[in-house]
Amino acid sequence: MKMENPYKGMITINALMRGGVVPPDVRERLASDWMEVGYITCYDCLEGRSSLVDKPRIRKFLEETAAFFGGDAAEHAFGCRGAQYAVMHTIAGLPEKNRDYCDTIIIDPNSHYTTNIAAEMNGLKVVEPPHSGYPEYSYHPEAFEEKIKEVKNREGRLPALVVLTHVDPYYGNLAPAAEVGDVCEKYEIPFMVNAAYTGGVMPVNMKQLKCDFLTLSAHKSMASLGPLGFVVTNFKWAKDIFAVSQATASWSGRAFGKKIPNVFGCAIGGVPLISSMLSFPGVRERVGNWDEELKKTNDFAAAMEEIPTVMLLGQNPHRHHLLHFETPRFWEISKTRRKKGFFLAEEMVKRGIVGLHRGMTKHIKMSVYGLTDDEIRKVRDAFHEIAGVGNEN
Amino acid sequence: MLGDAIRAYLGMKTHIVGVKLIEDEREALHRPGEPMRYCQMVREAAMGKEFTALAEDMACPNSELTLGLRQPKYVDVEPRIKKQVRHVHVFPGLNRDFDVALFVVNPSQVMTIAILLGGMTAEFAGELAVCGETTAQVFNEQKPNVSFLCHGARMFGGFRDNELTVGVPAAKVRDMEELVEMMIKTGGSLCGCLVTDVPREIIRNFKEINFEKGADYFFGEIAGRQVRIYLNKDASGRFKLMTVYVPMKAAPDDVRVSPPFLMKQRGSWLDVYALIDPDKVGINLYMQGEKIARTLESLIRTCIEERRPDANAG
Repeated sequence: MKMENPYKGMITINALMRGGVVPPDVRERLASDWMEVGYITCYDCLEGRSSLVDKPRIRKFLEETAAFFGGDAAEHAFGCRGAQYAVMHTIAGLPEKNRDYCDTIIIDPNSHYTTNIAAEMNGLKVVEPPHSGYPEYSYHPEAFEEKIKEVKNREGRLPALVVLTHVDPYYGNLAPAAEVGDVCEKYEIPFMVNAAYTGGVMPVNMKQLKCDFLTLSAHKSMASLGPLGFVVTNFKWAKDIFAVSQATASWSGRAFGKKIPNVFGCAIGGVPLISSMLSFPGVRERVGNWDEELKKTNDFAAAMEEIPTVMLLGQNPHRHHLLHFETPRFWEISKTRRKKGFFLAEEMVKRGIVGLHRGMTKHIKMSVYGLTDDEIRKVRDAFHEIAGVGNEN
Repeated sequence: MLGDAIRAYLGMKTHIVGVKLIEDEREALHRPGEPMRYCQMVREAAMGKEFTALAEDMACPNSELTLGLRQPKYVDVEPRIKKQVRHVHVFPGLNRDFDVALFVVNPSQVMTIAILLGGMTAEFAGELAVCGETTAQVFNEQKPNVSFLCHGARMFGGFRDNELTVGVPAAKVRDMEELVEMMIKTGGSLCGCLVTDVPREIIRNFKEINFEKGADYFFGEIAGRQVRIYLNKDASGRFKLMTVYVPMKAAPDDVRVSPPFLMKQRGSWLDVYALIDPDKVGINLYMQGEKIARTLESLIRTCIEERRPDANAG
């Protein structure tokens, strides 16, 4: 069967993907050393769980990951969604253990769908504070406090968890995490920050954010293959979230004492985990260049706004590489094209640029994170050319 | 196969049963070994069996009449198919030509079918049920019907207490399938995540005045200016207020606004905006699109003054 990647070698501007681009040297090492079998990390597994493997140095890598993000303990998971599931499943058991809490949690109004689905899977009720709406879609920590009080008044108990999406997937807004952390500390409510879009591209420290759980996406923001995520926590919560299996099978008497139910026993990892380990030194380093990346992002946004009617939504100046533009100009053009809404993504592909959501022209989400100046110019010129805007440089 | 998407959507363990009323002389290939009730054939077809039945294969005289296999001599029955049918083909799945599709479903699934059909009426009398109410009547009137079955169907046909049948004419099944596929394909939006629940009537209303829906707001032009309209929800999630945005690339000193408009700098943009209570200005968001346009035009012309009109980015 002939199966080729039609986008090989193109510049990707998909906002989900930019932070996950695997560096060429890591790709080479993966291909030459680590891609023989799916269970490549398991040859020297002595203790029955991938996170306890020393060859390759997974145990150490997880310790380093936890420390890098300001936590005490980390486990890898089947994507950030797996990490969020682990948190929610832990929290779902809280109301039974501690009568101060109910089965309602508070989730920010710009959360990723996986957050809400993890809550749904664990039978947790969700309450949302409002955002400000168009064009900024921001919210204040006070809104969380109001919702906490509202839940307490209604249920007689506190919400079991507050969840904040550090940078949201819609507008790329940086949330007031530390301030919400203060609120959670005041009410003694567990606090989870979903750093899928930030952990690995910009400085993130869970102690500074005052959170109990940090969920990360390796393939979104840690230059790794997917699916891979991490859940980082402090020692207080590690006891619960990383508790090992207690069950004994009724007839055979088997027990699985090293497996962590919240990450489905052993989250294996395989090639994605190896890619993350190989990329980690570079990830640590690149986080230090965040200000420079942010400047490139804002300069690019300004260049995009030279196109009539194109406007950046969300925080402006922007504080993250995920950019969401409203683009009526491209929508107007699409009405005259045979391919209608699909024309824009296809025009970009013709120019060697991939990653725009096909079919969308009223809005586009994108990123130039990690691109060289020349590549960013190429992307800018492509948009300008398609929009019919002259380019001075 | 036609019907698979509907089955999946309804969560049906049983097959949708296709029924074809055959008038010509073609061979009846799947005749039952001994006479059977039509309702029993339908129930067994829902589990995967296939039947072609002539009048002599019917164990219930009522279905011979209702399905048009025999014409009444002394006493008429209704509903019945008036044309002379030679044999009835009853088969699982809808991969062949059929006149009526029969769904063996529970009450919750009937509710979903009614939603997919955009509503339905039910006419049933507890007799001549599978053959009359959901086959003959549906064929004659080309309208779906639901039956709570008859004693025969429940005693001899193998139907369980919680089962009903819904008969749907072939053309309507295709409409249902299209609707289901559309819902599955979009999940409510192209990328699978719906970011707003603005009612369709409001979207249509704004469309009438050439305002297109963006992610969760509307964009268009009024009085030569780019205008965005965002519907604000109150804390309980009800649409209460309307924010009218006029994004401008201008310095605050170059623009003068009067209430209800305010100004806010956002990066290189000057957001000129007004928070409006639609009720107070006599606007109904669900209708009167033209009135919304007129009201906003008047407000924008009266309340926004730009010293350098050429600086307007829109």
